[in-house]
Amino acid sequence: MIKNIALSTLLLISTFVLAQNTAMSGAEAKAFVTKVSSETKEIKTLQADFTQTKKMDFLDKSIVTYGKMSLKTPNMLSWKYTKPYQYSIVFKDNKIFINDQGKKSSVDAKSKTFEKINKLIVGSSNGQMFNDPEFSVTYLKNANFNIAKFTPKSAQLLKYIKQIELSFPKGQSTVSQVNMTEASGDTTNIVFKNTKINAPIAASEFSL
Amino acid sequence: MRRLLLQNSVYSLIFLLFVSCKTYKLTDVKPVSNSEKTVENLYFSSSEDYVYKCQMDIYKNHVSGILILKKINETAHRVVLTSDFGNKLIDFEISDNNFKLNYVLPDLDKKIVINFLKNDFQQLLKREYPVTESFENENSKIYLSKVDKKIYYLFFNKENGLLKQIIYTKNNKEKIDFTFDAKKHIFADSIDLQHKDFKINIKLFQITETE
Repeated sequence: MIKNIALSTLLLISTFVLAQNTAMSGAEAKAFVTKVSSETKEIKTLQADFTQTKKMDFLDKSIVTYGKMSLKTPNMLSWKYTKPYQYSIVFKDNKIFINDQGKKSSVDAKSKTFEKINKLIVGSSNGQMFNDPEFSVTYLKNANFNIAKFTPKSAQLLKYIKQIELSFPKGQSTVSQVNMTEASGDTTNIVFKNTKINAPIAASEFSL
Repeated sequence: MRRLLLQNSVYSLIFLLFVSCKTYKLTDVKPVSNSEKTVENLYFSSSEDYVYKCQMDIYKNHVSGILILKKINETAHRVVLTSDFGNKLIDFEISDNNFKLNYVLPDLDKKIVINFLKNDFQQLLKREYPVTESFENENSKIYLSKVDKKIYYLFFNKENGLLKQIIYTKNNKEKIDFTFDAKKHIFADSIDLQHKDFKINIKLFQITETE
């Protein structure tokens, strides 16, 4: 009996740990992209709470930050950290507006590679990056998720980021999890919760 | 117009020279007999993770992110700055005499930037200060520590014994002011680092103890 419990516990743990990702077939990948692309076209607004977890090998604890994101097509995005500190960044009309604990600034979105990358990372939450020429994409699946794995094509971009994984819960077309792996191997994980599609967003959400 | 410009730049040059020539001197203090041989900055002495929200103003550029400081052995610290999104901007190991760069974002890979950070963190993380002279004023016990051409002034709050400020001078010129806010001696809640010779300012607010 005990042996059986031990064995099933072990099995259970190993299914969690080894929730193996397998590659989608060409047809599966095509169907997935078509579905996500057509459904995200219907998205006018998107809102979600997020939890961001940063892991580094030398740290005892992960660094966890919390916040809220709002997206309004075609080009307004607000990304706000609310805990443990206040920091907001809004992408609007090709400009980036920042409110860093009361200190406000703005930059031209076209000006910096770094800001571009952040925009890309943040923008990935609506899954509209399958056609981004900067990345090659592979499609994977497991029991719960469809996963799109983005790898930068250029050596320039690879210096910043090794890969980005977007996880879509089965049957859904919005991302519930983003996993980024940096060139150094450190990872950042963002989990979205309380996702609301096409609910009205006050204009004030995009002004700082 | 050109003359005006020239005049202006001459004035600002004179002003700059004047400012950068300012010699640092303690005022309104009285000397006391040496009671301590060494004093310590213990704010980074624990081997726990120190995590701070970081705001840097480098001339007109504002850099925001998360700063992680971690003691990795008796003499060295690992220092990592990431953006608010978590991606690493710079990562190095530092002690009094050594500096090892593990990673730097290509955009920041400039000698001047790295040297600044190296110098600032070498001073900030310096733990032991041999005491040369001691002073006091109404609120603080002040220790002067002379190391080669560098003189450090360490201000300890008389009431709670916590380190409040370090003024770092080189050739008698005030270079960097470090101001600490703390409730315990091994952990500062906030740190303000202000360059006196350049327009560089770093503000740190702890986010370690939030979970």
